Amino acid sequence: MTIDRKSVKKIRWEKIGPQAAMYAVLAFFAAVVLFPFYFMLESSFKTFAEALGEFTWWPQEFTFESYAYILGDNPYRINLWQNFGVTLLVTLPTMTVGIFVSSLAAFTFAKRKFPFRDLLFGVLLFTMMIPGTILMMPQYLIFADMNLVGTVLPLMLPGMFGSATCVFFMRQFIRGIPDSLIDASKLDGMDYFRIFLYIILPLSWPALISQIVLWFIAGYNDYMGPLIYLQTNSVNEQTLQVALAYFSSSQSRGSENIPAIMAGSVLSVIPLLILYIAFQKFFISGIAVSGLKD
Amino acid sequence: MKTAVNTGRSRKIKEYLSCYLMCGLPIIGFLVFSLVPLVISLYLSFTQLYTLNFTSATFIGLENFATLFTDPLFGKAIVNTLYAMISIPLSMVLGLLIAQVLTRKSLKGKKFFRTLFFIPYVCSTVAVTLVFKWMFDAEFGIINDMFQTKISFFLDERWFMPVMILLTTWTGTGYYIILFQAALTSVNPALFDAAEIDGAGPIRRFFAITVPTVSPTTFYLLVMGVIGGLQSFTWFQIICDPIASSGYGWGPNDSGITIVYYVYNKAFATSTGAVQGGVAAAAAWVLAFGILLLTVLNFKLSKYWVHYDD
Repeated sequence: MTIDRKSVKKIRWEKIGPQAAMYAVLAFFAAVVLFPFYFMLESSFKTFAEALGEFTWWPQEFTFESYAYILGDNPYRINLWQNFGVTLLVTLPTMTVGIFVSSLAAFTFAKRKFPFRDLLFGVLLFTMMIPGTILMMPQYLIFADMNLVGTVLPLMLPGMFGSATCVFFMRQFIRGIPDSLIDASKLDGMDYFRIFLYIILPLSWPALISQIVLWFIAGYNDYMGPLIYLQTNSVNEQTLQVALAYFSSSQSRGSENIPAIMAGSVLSVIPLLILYIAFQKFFISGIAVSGLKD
Repeated sequence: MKTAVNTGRSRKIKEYLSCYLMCGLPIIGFLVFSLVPLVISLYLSFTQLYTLNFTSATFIGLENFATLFTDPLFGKAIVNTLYAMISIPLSMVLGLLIAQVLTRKSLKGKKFFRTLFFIPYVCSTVAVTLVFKWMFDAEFGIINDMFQTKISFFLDERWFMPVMILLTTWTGTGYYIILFQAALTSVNPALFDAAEIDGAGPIRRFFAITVPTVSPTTFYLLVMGVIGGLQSFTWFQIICDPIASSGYGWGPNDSGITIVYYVYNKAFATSTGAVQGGVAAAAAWVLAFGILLLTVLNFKLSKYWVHYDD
C-alpha cells in the first residue's frame, strides 16, 4: 500500500515538475518582454517633476497631461497627430502602388514564358542583396540634384516601382494557383491584365494582406530615410518616428521631459500593436520569408 | 502561308511585349534606384567630395581607402559593429530554447506566449530605443533603482555595448522564436520516440535530433542576422544622438559608432560639420565587401553543420 502511494506521487511529480519548470521559464521571459512596456506606460502617467526625482514604481500623482503635451500642448510645436499624418502620407500611397506593381510582375514571372525571364528575375533577386548603406548617399545626391530633398518624394518614389522582396513573396504564392484557371479565363477571352485583376489578385488575398501589413509596418518604422530627407524640415513635417526622436533629443540635459517622451512612445506603438494583433496570422507567414527590419 | 507565319510571329512579339510591360516597373526601379546609385557610389569612392553635390567630386584614386584604414575611428566602428553582433548567437540560443518549450504538446497558452514574445520585434525601433535609454538612465532610470546601483550605463565604456546588446537581443529574439518554432513542428516525432527507446535523455535528444533538424533555419537566421547586424544604425544613432545636448556623442570613447553610423556621419556630417562624401562611399564599399565575404564564408562553412533532408 505505502509503496503504491509513493509511486503514484512520484509519477505525478515527474509530470508536474518539468511542466512547472517550463511555465517558470516562460513566465520569466514574459516578464522580461513586458518590463520595458511597463516602464514606458508607468512613466507616461507621471508628472514632469516626479519623473525627475527619485525613481518611483507607480505614479504618485496619476496624470494624462503628458499625452496632451505631446499631442500639441507644448512649446516645440510638436503634434504627433500631424506626424502620424505625414507617416500615413508617405506610407499608404507607396504601399498601394508598390504592392500592385510587384504583384503584377510576380504574376508575369510565375505564369508566363518570355525570353530572358529567369535572367530578369535574377536581376531582381540581386537587388535584395545590395546593402542599403551603399545606396544611401548616392540616392540622396540624385534626389538633391533634382531638388527633391525636403519633400516626401524621395521616400515615396522608389517604393512605387515595387520591391524585390514583395515580387519574390507574391511569385511564390501565385505559382500555387492552378494554370487551368488561367487557361479557362483565356478561353473566355480575357487578356492577361484582366486575368491578373479579376482572377489572380482576389485569389491571392492572404499573401496580399501579409504584404500590406509588412509594408505598412516597415514604412511606419522607417527611420533613416525620413531622417536624411526631411532633416531640415520643421518638426510638424517629419514622420512620427523622426519627430519622436527629435523631441527626445531637443530636451536639455538634466531636465528632460521623460513622461512626454514615454507618452509619445506609447502612442507610436499603439497602431503597431493593433495591426499586429489583428493580422497576426498573415504577419507571421510573411515575416518568415523576408524579415522586417532593413 | 507567309502571312500566317507573320501574324504568328507578330502575335508572339506582342505577347512578349505585354510580358515586359507587366514585369517592367520593378526592373526599371532597380536600374534607377539601385544600379545607377551603385555605380555613382563606386565612382565616388575614388573621389574627393566636400559637398552633397556630386558634380564637385574630383578624382583622387585610392586615397579614400588609405584614409579609412588609417582612421582609428573606422577601426573602432568595425570592432563595435562586430561586438554588437554577439546578440545574434544570444537571440539564437534563447529563441531555440523558447521555441522548444513552446512546441510541447501538453503546454497550455502557447499562442498567448508566442504572441507576447513577438511584440518587441514589431514595435518601432525609435520607441523601444527611447524606452531603453531612460530605463538605463544613470539618474532617473528604473534599472539603477532596482539593483540599488549608480551606474552611468551610456557614459561607461564597459556598460555601453552590453546594454546595446541587451536591447538588440530583446528586440530580435521574437523573430528567432517564430522561425525556430516553424522548423520544430516539422521535426519527425518518430525520431524522438526512437531515440527515447534507445535510452537518449532529453539533453542528448536535443543535441542529436533537434539541433541538426533545425540547422537549415539556424543557417538562414545566421546569414540574415550577419547581413543585418553589420548594418546596425538606428539604435546607436538614437542613443548617441550627436546633435542633442542630452546625447552621448559617439558613445563613451567612441564605443557607440558602428560602420553605418560612420558612413552616415561622413556623408551627412551631422556631428563633424565637414562632409567627406568620398570617404563615406569608400566605407560603404568596404562594408559591402565585408558583408559579401562573411556571407560567402557562411555558405562555405554551412556544409559542415547544416543538414538538409533529402
